Amino acid sequence: MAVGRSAVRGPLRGVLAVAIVIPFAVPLLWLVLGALKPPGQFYSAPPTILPDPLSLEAIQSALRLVDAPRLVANSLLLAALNVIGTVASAAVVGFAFATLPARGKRPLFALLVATILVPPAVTLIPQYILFSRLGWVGTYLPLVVPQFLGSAFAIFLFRQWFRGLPANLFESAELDGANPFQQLRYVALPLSRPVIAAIAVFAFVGSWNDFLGPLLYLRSPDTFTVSLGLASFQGLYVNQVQQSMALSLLALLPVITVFAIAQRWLVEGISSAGVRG
Amino acid sequence: MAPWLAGFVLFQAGPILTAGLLSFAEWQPPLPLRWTGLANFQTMAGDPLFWRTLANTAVYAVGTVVPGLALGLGLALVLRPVRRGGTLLRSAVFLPAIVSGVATALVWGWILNPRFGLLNAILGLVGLRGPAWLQDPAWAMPALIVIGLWNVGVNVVVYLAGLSAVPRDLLEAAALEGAGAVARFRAVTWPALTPITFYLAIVNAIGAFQVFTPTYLLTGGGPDHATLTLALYTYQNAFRFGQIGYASALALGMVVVIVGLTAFQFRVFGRQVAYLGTDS
Repeated sequence: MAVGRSAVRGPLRGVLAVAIVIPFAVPLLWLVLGALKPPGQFYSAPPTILPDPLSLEAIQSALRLVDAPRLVANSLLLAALNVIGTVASAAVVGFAFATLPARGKRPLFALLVATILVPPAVTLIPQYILFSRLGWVGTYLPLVVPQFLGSAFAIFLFRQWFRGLPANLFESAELDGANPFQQLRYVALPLSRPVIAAIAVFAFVGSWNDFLGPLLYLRSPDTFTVSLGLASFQGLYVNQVQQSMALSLLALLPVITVFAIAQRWLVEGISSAGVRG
Repeated sequence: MAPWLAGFVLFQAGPILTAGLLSFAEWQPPLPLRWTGLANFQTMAGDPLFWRTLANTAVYAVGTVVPGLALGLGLALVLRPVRRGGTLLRSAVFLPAIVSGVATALVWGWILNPRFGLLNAILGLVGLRGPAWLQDPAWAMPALIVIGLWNVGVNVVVYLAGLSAVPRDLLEAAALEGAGAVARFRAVTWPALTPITFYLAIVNAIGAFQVFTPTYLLTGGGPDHATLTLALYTYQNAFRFGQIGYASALALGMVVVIVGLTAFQFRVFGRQVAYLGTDS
């Protein structure tokens, strides 16, 4: 209560709050309105704000020009594999870092944290060479396999979370004869729903929004993701702005939906990383 | 731990070493690789475009990170006490941060469009003639910075979490001692927020130095190289011009800059960070 009290009070404060949110909301609203205007109205001068009349023409013609369901299916498949791979591998490795007595764990963990800070740009070129030698360019493998081998940030989050759980839980499970995998499966994971949800959402949104990965590794348009499909549509049909807007909505809706559902956990996940450091 | 170690060797350590090695070679596949020692770095030192991209990237980083922290904290302070509709307002600020880079770039490309863009239409209402933004060498970089700042919602969320962890008893004690809002902020709130600010400064700077999607999609580095960033120049050299060796040297240069900057931040600001009874 005392934290937020400042010179600005009452209704003025509300007006200020709404005013500063406008620049964040307007571009997306404008996108939605543009996609729903009848053809050509988008360019009218003076510009109209609301669609008059409401029209689905831009959306329909966008769907005629590009196989949107295909793009969505590709993106969903990749995102699902990324979520499963990231959560499964990071949970196991994070659990090992948190509980198992192993020599050399400390320097390994320092190495792990260091890789979070290594810019992906450095590893980009050699990874590309590696994947092209393996013959994986043009397939989904480069976009999926690394996640199944553990993402550093997710491992870090899991490790922090598991260390916060009471250690005697695992000790008594061990006395009852549970091996580390059983301890993870039956003791740790059921207590870890918020962190699992946060990591799953991060993995989903990261994969869904990824542009550089698909740009480098996908070649045939029927394997394209929504992001890459949208960029290439914009490149092919520069003047079909309203159709591009309609496709952009397609790129936004799933992440917004996931965000709305998982909002609580997402915020908790981000802040646990930020505050606990 | 084994799968992560395998992944680490295969996808992190191996590639980092390879990148280091490749920067000492000239390699334009399908031509064979040739070891050229420091030639790539000499080329870099004498490449005006490299210095231009370095300067552009630095301008972008300073232009997004510093205002990004101030905006993040400012918005968090304003939005935190809002009760009615607060969740909606906070979500509206956060939403752009989860919009894909491609959609963000396209939306802003249309808003900044000199012919039918929303921004110049609004400026026209008050009698101003807006520039061509992304096609204007003087305005393209400021426009990119604004696009970058549109994603400040992550900072807002982290600051909101940080504000709720500010020790309440200290604030109340300060208020009892007669400290005003500004004094309380300076003596209690801000010190409590320094670890978060430090974390955000480092993470944001690392991100800013790798900016790629908006420049790739909106300007292609133009006009007149005004928005050519390190990441885009590296990408062009590797995947457009086929200069794998030179691109690796550029990537290595980028890492040196990022690591140097992070170390610099730790030296200069690390000491001012106050850890108020946090367990790590």
